[in-house]
Amino acid sequence: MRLKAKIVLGTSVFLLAAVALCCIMFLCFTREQLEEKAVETALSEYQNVWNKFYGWMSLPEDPLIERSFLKQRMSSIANTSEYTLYANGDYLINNCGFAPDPYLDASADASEELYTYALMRFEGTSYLIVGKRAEVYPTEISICLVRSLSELDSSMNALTNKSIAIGAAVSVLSLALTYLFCTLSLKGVKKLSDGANALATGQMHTRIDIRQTDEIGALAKDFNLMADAIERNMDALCEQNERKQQFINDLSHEMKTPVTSLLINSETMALRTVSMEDMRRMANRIHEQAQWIERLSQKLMQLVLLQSDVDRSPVPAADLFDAVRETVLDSLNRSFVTLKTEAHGETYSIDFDLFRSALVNLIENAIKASEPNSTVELIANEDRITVRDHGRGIPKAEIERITEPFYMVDRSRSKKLGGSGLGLALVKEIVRAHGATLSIESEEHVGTSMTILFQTANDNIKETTR
Amino acid sequence: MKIKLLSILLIFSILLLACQPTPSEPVVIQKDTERLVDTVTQQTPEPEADPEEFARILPVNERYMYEYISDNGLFRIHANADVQVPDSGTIPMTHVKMNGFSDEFAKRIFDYVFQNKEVYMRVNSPRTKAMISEELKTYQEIANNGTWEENGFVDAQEVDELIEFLKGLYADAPDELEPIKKEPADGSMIVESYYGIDTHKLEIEDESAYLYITRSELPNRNHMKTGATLYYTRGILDEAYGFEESTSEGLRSFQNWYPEYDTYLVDTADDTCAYGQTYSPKAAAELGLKFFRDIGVEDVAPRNVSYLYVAHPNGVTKSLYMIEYVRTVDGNPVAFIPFSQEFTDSESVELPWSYEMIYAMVDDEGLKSMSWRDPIDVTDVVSDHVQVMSYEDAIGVFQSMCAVVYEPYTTAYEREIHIDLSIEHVELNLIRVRERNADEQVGLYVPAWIFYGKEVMQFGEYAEPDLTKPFTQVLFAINAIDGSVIDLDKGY
Repeated sequence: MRLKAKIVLGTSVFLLAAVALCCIMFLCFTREQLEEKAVETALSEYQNVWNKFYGWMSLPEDPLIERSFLKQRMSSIANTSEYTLYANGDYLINNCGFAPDPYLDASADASEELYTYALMRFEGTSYLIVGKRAEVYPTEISICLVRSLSELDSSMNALTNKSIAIGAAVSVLSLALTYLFCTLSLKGVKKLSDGANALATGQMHTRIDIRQTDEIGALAKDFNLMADAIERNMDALCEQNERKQQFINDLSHEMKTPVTSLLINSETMALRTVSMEDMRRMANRIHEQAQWIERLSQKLMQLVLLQSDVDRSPVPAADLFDAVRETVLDSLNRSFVTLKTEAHGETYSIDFDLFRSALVNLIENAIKASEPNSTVELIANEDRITVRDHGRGIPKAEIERITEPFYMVDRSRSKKLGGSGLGLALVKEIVRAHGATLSIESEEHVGTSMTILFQTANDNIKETTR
Repeated sequence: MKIKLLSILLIFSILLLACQPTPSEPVVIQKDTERLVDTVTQQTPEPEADPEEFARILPVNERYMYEYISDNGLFRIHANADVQVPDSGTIPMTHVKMNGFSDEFAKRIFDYVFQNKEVYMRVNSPRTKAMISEELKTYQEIANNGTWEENGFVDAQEVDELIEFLKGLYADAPDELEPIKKEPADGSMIVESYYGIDTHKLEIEDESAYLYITRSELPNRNHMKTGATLYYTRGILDEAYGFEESTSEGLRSFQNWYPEYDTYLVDTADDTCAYGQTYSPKAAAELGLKFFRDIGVEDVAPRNVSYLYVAHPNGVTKSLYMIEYVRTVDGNPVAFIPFSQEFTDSESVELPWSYEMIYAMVDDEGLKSMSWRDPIDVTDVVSDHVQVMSYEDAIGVFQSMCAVVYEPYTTAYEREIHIDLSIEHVELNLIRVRERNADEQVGLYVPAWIFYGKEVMQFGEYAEPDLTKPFTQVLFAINAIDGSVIDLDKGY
């Protein structure tokens, strides 16, 4: 069952029950009031009649005359057509059609001036009975006022019908208003449903325009936030997908060259007769290409491995820098470049090997970009580590792309120097895996600074790593 | 879930119903008239018609003599009465109902009176707006002052209903009084509405006779809406007397207020013509009986014949016989009660039900007029031979209860009232006892010991006696079955 139907139906049931309950209580109260008034009037009238009737001193002895006397006494009192007269086991006057005395409290008697009354029904008509007993030895007398409450019943019936009509009208009106209100209130739900459907069909720009300030409005806001997040994530996924595709394309392209070289050189060696010198040259070429493929695969492996969680531990910057120096010492010596390190006791929560690898990559790039007898600086400063060179710099247009896998500013020169185009991509991934960011500042013919900026809260580094 | 909810509702409903208190059955009791009927039908063995049985209840002396003076001396009874019982030796009890004059009966009377003569029916003009406004003003005043009871209404609601009815009439009422229409009459009654009550009416005005027959469709509680009326007058309405006084009832009323005019009862069997009258009392009574026989009514008998000599203040004098008739059942006369029950108890649910009254006026030329109100129909016979209480028992009840009934009136008002009752006749007649709290006018003819006589009241020691009941009429009635005193005003 739809929500609107549930709400309307539920409201209707409760409303009808409430209206019915109110009507019943009102009718019961009204009937009670009317009956009380009728009783009060009847008691007053009865007392008046009783006082007029019961004024004799003695009854005739003759039973026939006694009966005549009692009947005449009763009939002579005005307004006694509703009264019954019971004496010595027989009704002398009774025109109501039933015996009212059994309904009276047996304890009522004249000496205590107690009148009792009772309400009962006979042949579909309500009656009020007021009565009293007296004994005038040896005669027992009872007089009852038997008043038909048919007018009261009619009034109540009319009131009941009116109450039912009003109750029904109120219920129907409330039902209609409830339905209308539900329709208006739940209009936003339809919009949300349509929006969700649109979102599901790929219309990522779908947003819900609901200006209600209630829960539906809040839901709409949350929906829009969700849609924003989905759109961003979708965009990021698309971008990531594109990057992966690009990575595969680039990898294929990069792999193609050395593989082709391997095939050509090995095929020549296998199928042709070549001189020893050529053979040696070809073998060296095969060896170089193989080494390059090996380096490439190692870097790729590191990139893959970076997809899993990074185990970090506090590492003093000085120790890290010493390890880095040890690794790049040969490169420094070959290039006649000096490495200057600077640390002030900083400690970083890092994976030692990965971060050493990242810093090694940055320094080797700096060495490659530097002129002989220049200096490369490795500086730790609070929440950042900077590698600075004073080399040829990077064109501004290239800065954004140099961290892309396989992207090289000067491809031919980089390859000549043994570059695979994956170094900075790897550095970026290592830095990202630590929850840090890599920023690059460079000016052609001046130099380049690459800064790794750590987040200040270390306890969520693993969350951001994922 | 739905099944659970339904189950809970069902259990709840059952519990609710089960918790209703079991009402105790009331003991059904017969109403007063039903008990009377029961008493009679259970009388065993059913007596055969036996004049000796009736003789048993006759006193040794055929006259009832009794004197009584109350302790305060204000109430006296003087009885020197003949005692009569039905010659047939039996007296029945029947159910009765006031049906009024049927259309067929009206046609029969019409045919009898006008003998195929071309006559015209009087159709009342509708009341004008001015007339209705006057009436509305009157009743509005009654409603505002709350004086509905004094003006003969049963309750305030009746006044309100009347006002609403008149307001409804006002919209369609003409501005000017329309001429009285006369339509050719064939004896069919027309229906006219008075205050919301449909009345069947036949009114013929002709130089040979005036005939007026009405029957209210539904009697209501207002005293103005009587049951049924038949007026017949020979010739045109006597202008000297006016409509009311041309009729028997009107003359009687006139006599009530002017008792100084000569009027005296004559013997219905008297064959002697009185004072220049063409007809003797007996012959006069016979003229009325012939009228009834000719219209198919056999169960009528003359009760009283009075010779009236009336001198109207306008100088016109008239002398005629006024005959009071009574209905009979198997030869048993119904008591003659010459006043109408114009109203009911203000708190009563009963309908006004006047006693049946039949008068005839006979002058030198013959039957002058006939007046018949509220005819009663015998619907079924409860018993042909009712065992009645003995004459001795009846006298015992009378001598005990008459003072009980009348003495309170002697001191009921600010001044002392002397009441003298003269009992002239004691008769075993039938009397109408109505069923109380009934929706229609139904009752019984029951045997009753009727004490006929005259009543004189004197308001204060030095006041002149007022012959409140100058004509011999019912002063006291005792139900001959259960010995209860019958209140003639109330009808039971």
